[in-house]
Amino acid sequence: MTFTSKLDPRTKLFLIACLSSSAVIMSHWTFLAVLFGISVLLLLLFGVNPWGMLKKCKLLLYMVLGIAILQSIFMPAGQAIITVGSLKLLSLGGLKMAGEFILRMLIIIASAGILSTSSSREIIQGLVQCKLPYEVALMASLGIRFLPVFAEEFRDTMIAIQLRGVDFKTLPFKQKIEVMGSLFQPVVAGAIIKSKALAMSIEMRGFRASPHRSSYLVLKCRIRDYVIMISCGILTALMMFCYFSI
Amino acid sequence: MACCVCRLERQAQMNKAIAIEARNLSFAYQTKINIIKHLNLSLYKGETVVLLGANGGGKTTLGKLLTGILKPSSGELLLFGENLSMLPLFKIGQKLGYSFQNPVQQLFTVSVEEEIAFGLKYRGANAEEISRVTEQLMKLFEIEHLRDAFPLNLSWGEKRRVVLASCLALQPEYLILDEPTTGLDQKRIDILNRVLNNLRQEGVGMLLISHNQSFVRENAQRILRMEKGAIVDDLYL
Repeated sequence: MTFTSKLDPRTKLFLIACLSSSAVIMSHWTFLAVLFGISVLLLLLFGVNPWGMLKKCKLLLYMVLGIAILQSIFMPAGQAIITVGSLKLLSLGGLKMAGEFILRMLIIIASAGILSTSSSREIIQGLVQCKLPYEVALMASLGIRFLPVFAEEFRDTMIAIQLRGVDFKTLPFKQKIEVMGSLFQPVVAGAIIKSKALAMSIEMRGFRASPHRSSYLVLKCRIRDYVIMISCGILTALMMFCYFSI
Repeated sequence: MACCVCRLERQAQMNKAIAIEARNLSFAYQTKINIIKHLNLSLYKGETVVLLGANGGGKTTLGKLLTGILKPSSGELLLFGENLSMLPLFKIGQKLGYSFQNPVQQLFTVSVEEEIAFGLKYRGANAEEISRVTEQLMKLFEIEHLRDAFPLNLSWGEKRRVVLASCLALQPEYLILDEPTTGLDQKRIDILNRVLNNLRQEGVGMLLISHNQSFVRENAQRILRMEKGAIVDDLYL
């Protein structure tokens, strides 16, 4: 376990809040590149392998790349790189925008990687001790818990469809769309059914039975946490100042 | 004498065409611990094999390897003589029917009728054939009254019947059913026994993973017992 992964979850929440908000606010590729560099450095400090993380998010990255390509095509700006007649198919400005989008998404993915070094229980407790109502904190953590479930259901459905002997690639376009609909069907319906069962199950274990909830896990910020939070806050403010000054 | 009969029966089995063959098959999940260890196995056409073993012994993993859902860490798998690792899942699905241990994983359409018709529809069957097969299977598994029901809202036993009907609609050459009797009442198990018996007579081979003793007695022609990822018993009845 690295020194950084022992940090209080609230420190990590503060770090990722600074990183992701800066990534959303700043729309200049130089600043985004610096932020991305900081994210990778933080991932390494937290003992997360950035390459392994990228591999896990392969599907999401393909989607990001696809959106970036579409963005660069449909939002032409600046010098044209590829043109068809009078139509700018690819432009320098479009490419720059796509690059910024990719960097922004990578920073957000890296932020999620930092958060993954704490357990969901620690994150809930962190949010509760930040005065967020327990119900809201639990719902947020359950939402995160559902993401891998969705991915697994999506995969299972894809396997089930193929095991019915259906070759997705050779289907006509209309049928492809129909089958794609089938892919989302169990994921959405399954999520609703699971949420109902989960709600019932947690209420049966006494959730919200009393207005006050005691906790065995109590987080305590140490000096190092305060130092990191203050440094991170100052650095973010400095970057924002530079960004808005230019 | 008994041994001689056994040997003769075994020889007769050997003369049958092989449906699935595993050669020195090993498999490990991410933990790197081998769940399946250097397994050699031949499953024949028209033969009903029951796979027994304690929970966590590797039965379901073996089932998933034989259907191409999981890829072996080492060794070779052949499906009707073709290298199974090289075949895309849809090609495997055209020859092999597989029912998951958890039926929920196999239900993805908006109605029971569509669920059963799905494979036939997208494999180019005509409307008349789709309707005939679907009606026949719904009647057989007593789920006609559920034709418009949303499959994920059904009871466990009903879901299981829908999955079995969907599998059989495609008339597979080989069937792998993982715990097919879970959630079924005795009446429905008897129906399943009858269906499997008919398929056996039509020459369809099957691998049944089950803990239900009466179901095993009713169907098994050969029993495989698995322990810690290895076949420890291979018994012809």
